[in-house]
Amino acid sequence: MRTSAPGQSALLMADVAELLSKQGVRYAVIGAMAAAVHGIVRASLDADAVVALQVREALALRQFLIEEGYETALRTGDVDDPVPGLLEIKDRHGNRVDLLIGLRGMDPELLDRTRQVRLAEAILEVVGREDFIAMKAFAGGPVDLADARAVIDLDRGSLDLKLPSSCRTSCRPAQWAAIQRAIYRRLQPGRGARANTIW
Amino acid sequence: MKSQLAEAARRRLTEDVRRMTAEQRLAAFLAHCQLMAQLRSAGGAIQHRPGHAVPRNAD
Repeated sequence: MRTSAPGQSALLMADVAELLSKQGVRYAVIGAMAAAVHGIVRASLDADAVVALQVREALALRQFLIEEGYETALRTGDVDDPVPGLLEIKDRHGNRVDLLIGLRGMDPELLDRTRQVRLAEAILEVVGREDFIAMKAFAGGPVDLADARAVIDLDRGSLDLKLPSSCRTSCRPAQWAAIQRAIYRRLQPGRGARANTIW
Repeated sequence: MKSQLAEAARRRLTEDVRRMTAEQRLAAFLAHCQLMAQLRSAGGAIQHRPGHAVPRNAD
């Protein structure tokens, strides 16, 4: 285990990421860690990832993590909850990783577009920049939208607008409209972005 | 009212972040979290010191 004190949930994520890879479970780091990778460095008490598993498969993963010495809890969401299940993983220092067992409306190809980033000798699969922006716009809270805009502003020129268009098929119309609203103002002609391109 | 100074400082900060690699940003994130955890722990220790009065609106 890499952790030795509180405030090291990112290192716990590095441990968990290695265990997920060992089990052949595909995942993408999201949340505050992904925000840091994409330019918004802000402390968080936990670390999050989305995993490509069904809730029943998560039971076996939970057992594996218990055998590896972690404290875990598996919670399931309501029928209309966008998160079908959540596997909480804690160490003895209070560090915590939340694994989202799927995410309704998420583009499954998101897991093919992760960015590999090294942390403490582990290779982490981090959600791609465009998918991160789409997820933030999707969440729709004031801080989420501010994060999405900040990541766009950090490097507008390199934004690949074609990639997230595939998530359109998995969005409800209202969600797609929210993503467009959140992003549109940042991509108007004359503000440094390509004209006439929108997800 | 918008502050030109604050805007310029924000732009400089954005430039600094842009120059960092993803690994450096992640390392900065980890350091920030560790510092915040230490600060939280120190705050808790002060609050629990005998005779230390904590203002009701301390949060």
